[in-house]
Amino acid sequence: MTGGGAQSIDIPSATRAAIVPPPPRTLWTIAARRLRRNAPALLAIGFLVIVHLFAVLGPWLLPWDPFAADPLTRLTGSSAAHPLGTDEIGRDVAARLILGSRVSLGVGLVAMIISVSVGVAVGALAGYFGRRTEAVLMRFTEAMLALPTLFVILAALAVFGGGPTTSTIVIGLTAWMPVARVVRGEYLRWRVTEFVDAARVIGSSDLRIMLRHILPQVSPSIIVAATLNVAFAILTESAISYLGLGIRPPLPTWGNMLQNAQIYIWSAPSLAVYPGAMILLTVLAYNFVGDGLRDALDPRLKI
Amino acid sequence: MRVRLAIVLLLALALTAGFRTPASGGPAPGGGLVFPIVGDPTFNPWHPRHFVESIFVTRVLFNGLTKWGKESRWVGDLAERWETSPDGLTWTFYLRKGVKWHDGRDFTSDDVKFTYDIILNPRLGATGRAAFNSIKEIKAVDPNTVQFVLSAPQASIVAVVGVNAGIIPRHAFTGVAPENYWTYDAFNKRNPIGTGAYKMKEYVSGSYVTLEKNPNYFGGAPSIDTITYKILPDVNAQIAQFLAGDLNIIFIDNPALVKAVQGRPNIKVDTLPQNNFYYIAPNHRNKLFQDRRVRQAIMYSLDRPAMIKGFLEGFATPASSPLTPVLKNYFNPNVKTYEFDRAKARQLLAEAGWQLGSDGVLVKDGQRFRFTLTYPTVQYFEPLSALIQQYLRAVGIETVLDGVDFNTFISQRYLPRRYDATVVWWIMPEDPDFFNYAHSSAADTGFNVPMYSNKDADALMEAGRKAQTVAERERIYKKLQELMAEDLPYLQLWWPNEIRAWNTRLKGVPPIHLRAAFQWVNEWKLE
Amino acid sequence: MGRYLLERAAQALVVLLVVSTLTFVMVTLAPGGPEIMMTMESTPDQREALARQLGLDQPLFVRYVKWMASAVRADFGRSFGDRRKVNEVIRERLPNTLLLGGTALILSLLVGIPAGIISATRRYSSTDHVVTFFSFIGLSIPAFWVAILLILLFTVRLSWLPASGMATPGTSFLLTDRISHLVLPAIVLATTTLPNLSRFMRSALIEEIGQDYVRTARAKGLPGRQVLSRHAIRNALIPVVTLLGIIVPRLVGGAVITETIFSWPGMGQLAVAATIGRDFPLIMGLTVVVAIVVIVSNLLVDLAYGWLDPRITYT
Repeated sequence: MTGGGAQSIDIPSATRAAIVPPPPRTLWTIAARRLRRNAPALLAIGFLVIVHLFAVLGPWLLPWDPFAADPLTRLTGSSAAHPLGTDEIGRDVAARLILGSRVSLGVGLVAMIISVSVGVAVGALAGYFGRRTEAVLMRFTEAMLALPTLFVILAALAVFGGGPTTSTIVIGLTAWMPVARVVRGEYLRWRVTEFVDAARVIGSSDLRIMLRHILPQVSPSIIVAATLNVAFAILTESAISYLGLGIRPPLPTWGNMLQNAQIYIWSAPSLAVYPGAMILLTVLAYNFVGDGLRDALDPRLKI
Repeated sequence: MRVRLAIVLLLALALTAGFRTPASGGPAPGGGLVFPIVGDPTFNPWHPRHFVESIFVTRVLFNGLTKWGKESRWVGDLAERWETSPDGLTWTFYLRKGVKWHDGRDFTSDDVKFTYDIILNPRLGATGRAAFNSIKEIKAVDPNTVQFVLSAPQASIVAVVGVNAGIIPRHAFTGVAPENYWTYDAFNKRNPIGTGAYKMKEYVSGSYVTLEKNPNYFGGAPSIDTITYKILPDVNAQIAQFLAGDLNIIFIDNPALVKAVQGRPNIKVDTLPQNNFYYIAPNHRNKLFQDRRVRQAIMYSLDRPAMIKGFLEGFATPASSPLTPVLKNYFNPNVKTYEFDRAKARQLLAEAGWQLGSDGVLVKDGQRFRFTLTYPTVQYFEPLSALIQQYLRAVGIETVLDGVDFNTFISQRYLPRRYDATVVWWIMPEDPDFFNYAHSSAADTGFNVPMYSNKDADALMEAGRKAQTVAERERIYKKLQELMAEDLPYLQLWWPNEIRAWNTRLKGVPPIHLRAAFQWVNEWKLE
Repeated sequence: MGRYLLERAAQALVVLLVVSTLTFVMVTLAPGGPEIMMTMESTPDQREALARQLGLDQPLFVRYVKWMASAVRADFGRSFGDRRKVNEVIRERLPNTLLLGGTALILSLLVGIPAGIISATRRYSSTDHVVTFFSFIGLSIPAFWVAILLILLFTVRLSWLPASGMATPGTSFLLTDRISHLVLPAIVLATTTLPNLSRFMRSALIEEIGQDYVRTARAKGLPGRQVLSRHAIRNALIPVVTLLGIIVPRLVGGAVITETIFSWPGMGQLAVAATIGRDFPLIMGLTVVVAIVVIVSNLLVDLAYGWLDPRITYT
């Protein structure tokens, strides 16, 4: 409990509490404590850990082959051999769901990292420096927003070939603009506050002000934006699959499983329920976590 | 305050929504046919954008010289009868008299000449040109007679002039230069003028087309007042609307949807064979497929009945030939067939010199048996190809799947013939003339997808075109089917059935495929 | 102010130029060709004839210059599909998309902003949890799944609402008919924007409430309601206004899936068909229109900033 040196004297606890320094309180320990009290967020974190573990380890741990097709056992419900049933050509749904989680989660996370990195960089520079920089950057953002996403994706797939990598990069590069706009708006606000003036007066460089002073203020918005972007990325991947672009079968993603299941909602609705539920629950979980983190990291809240 | 406003608004919406007026969605009482199409149609059968959604409309608005009849044979439409010269190079069609266009003007042979001149004009790019390749010239002999002069005999001309070959009026295009035919929206997109059982009433772009009956139709006045084609791109939405009673007839493209409509009291599901076949086309220029035993082995390695049960809910028949039983007397039921037999497949491959390698893939002269299977990502080709890949792997053949969207498939694989093997389908007119699909002259630029070249087959196909009597044609084409079953230009998979469903109030739909059935729509009744 | 607007106008032109050039390049890079040329039954001379008619036999640069020359006169040429004038087609579709998008937007605002306010003021209460939960669900459900469920319930089961089109075929204009066709697609479209609005409003308002000035005002005895509506909410609207600037163009160009399922004849559905059919003039025309909408809405957003927060100046 005490962080100091060796103790050889026996001191009563009340006195001890009065003279011993309390444990260090960094932003992160405070955040962890707050998070511990947020039940939905903890549930969500637990869920995500399980899902990600399955995604990473699943293909080795579990015996089913996600590519083994057998048209005679198609669209069967849950059974001993196939806990979640079989799909339209007899492949095991559970196996495809797990393999698909790898792809969908991978796409979601990496695309989010790309979009948030680019978005924060663009937004911070634009909001902080204003004038020419802002004009150029925000017009560039507008231009990107105006580009029809479908064509960006088509053209990228044409030039670089299809598949997970291209899809991820493309989704990331089409999702940074909202982040940039929000971040720019925040930097615009915070740039004119007193404490930034104060920081300037004592000689902090622009970069330092942007990163050390303003960024923490903006971080709640960024975190919210980041979790929304994971949601967006996973949903975009499913939308792209719905339109027949992006990652093609037989490699499963939750999105293309959902697309394949469309025709079967009349005869085997569970085919759409499972991937849809995975998308829903995962996105939900990310949002709860993000929300919890937002509250936990807010520097202005008291314990 | 704002929340209250929102609640009031939502309540109001709910109230008005509850008032489902009789006209809001249901077909008009007394007789309105409502049928879904997947996109905006173009009302000109020769327009380059005349695709499947347009076919259902133009087959009602316009008439061709012949059409596919209710007893499954070709009958006259605008032509009453026809004859061919002894050398087979001149066909004379005698046209019906007293036919009028929707605007009251008289139909004459001049309109036929106008229409076919459009097709033959190389600068226009009219759709469906390929079918009319052997027509050199059209002559309007007298107001009721036309003559086609061919560059080579083609017995299937009777069929060819009956498939999506509606005649359009010359007088509707006066003052329009030929190069502007496809941009002439007044006809193509607003007010088409035909001779058909229904004429244009209303077209709301993106929503629907409504036709109204033509009481002066030469085939007999229609009973149903209007036909409305609702534009519904989403197939599940089509099913939902059909179940709700907003559509009274639909075309079921994917057998998986049959379960949604089967067993309902007021719905009849109908299925019949059509002249289509689905196939794997091996590229015969690729060394891997040049040995006939290899092609036969591949046929033996596929469990087609299981695949049909799997993908098509049983709504297909394993194909013994590219020509289907719909062709009746031209169809040869006694040809070599390929049951699912892995042992036989392996044996044939061994005979062809392929040895099983250590990793389970066949090897010959240091080369692995590995090829790319190309397919368009439409319909069920994706899971189908994955399944084919699995079946082939079981006999030691390794496949790499190459699925691309349809447009890319056509432009980057099919047209430049850039594939080892491809899975796709053909829909053919009801005539055994297989020339365009397997003759060596059609390999690079025609429809000979497998790039097949066989002198005996060529000779048979040429003879089939020259033949003067039905008996002779039957003999020739039966022989061709025998040859194709042995030599396998195409690896025919199955003949899919057409599935359609309609409300039991609808009567009189003839037992022919729906596109042709629509040409008899004047005989349908809605009770 | 006038000078500022002039600057923005000049920037807008540059953006339009960049956007159209980039799209032109990308569209020509994409594999495939106009769908009227890409059919299984086409012949070489047919494709040649069509290529000539569509101007595709000319070098890229010439085609670009020609397009640009007519585009500056607001003439986007003729579709490569059914050969109608692009202007006409867009003019037909744009109001439909605006109607659907506008309704969805109003619905989102009317429900989303109050929900966000309630959530923020009753933070961590069960109301907050319920609102947050539903927001998250709305964010996480794929649009087409919601659409099909609603159709199955309201059209097939209950026969309450129609599931396609803007109006019943063959009837003349009837307000109730139009509204009933609008309900389902607007709700589906709103589920993509409402949760965002509500959450952003909530998080922005929470921040504002935590600010010193709010505590000061309360300590001084000002009624909570007044503090909220006059100060906190106004400031919290700033990031929300930002979100509007993003939602609006998305509603215009991107309600693709909703429009497709409900057969709503709008620009989103048109854009998909144009992409699949490689209809270059239509794609270009749509891009420019969407770009203009984006630019205008961004400008309005920035002007709204200035009005809402007097500290923000455009220097």
